[in-house]
Amino acid sequence: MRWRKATICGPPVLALILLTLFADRRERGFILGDLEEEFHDLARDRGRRVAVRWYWSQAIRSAGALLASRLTSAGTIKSASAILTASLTAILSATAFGLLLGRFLSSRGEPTFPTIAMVVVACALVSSTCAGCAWAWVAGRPNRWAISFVGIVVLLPDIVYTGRSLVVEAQLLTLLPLALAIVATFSGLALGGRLWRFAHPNVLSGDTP
Amino acid sequence: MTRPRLGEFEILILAALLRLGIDAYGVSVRREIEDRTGRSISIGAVYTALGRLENKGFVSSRVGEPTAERGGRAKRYFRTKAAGRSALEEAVAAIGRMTEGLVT
Repeated sequence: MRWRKATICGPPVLALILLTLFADRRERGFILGDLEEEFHDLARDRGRRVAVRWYWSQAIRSAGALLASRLTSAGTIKSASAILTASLTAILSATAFGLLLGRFLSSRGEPTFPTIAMVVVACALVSSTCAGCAWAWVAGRPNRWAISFVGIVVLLPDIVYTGRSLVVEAQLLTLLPLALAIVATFSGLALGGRLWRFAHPNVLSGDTP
Repeated sequence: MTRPRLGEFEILILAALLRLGIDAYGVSVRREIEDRTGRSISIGAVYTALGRLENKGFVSSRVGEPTAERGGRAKRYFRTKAAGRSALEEAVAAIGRMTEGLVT
């Protein structure tokens, strides 16, 4: 793609990059052109601040649809490679977070969890489940059991620590890695698709193995 | 071989293409649907649906000239093919038969 230097009058660069990551290269130019045209119209009529908010809204909402379209039209192996990258990214980032948080809590001397290992396992479990649910969603195969499992894991601290003073800390230990895993999963999915294309430059989108 | 079915959003896209005629491209289609239905539509959803319709053989596209207001990028114009028009008519007729007497 031809990268353009951001100017103070153009669309927000980060949103532009987000769309570049998720849009298929054959449609990328048309989509970015449409958005830039509407961005300039909106900036002229209602001001740049409104236009920037609108552009970000379009970029975030479009990213999900574009990524789902690419993965559902991709071959099984391509989807699997993207999902594997997403899962590994989610697990590694959440595990790292769990280690850091466990060390922090231990240094404060507060017995929130018996061992750091349990924190790490909980974080990895939550993040990998989140990655699996994200795969199910983008592949068009929603799995109610997996989604329910995520809900149960998130609510587990409330169930286990009901009536005690540790609910807030315990809830943070599941919600924060969950949020981290969501971000890591989507970035991993985009990266996985790019890695696949890099490794298989002659394979067209939509080919089934 | 059975004809591919249209989803709800695909019906809106085809109708927008028929209304817009030769001026149908991403921006105009998105605005047409937003103005007529009151729904907020993302450009990604529009292109995803247009891609599906093209794969089903209901829509064709051509590339226009790049313009400065689009950052030097070209427009992609879409138009409905005869099969798309027939599919839209069938879908609308089916909805009409199902809702006959129910909606006033």
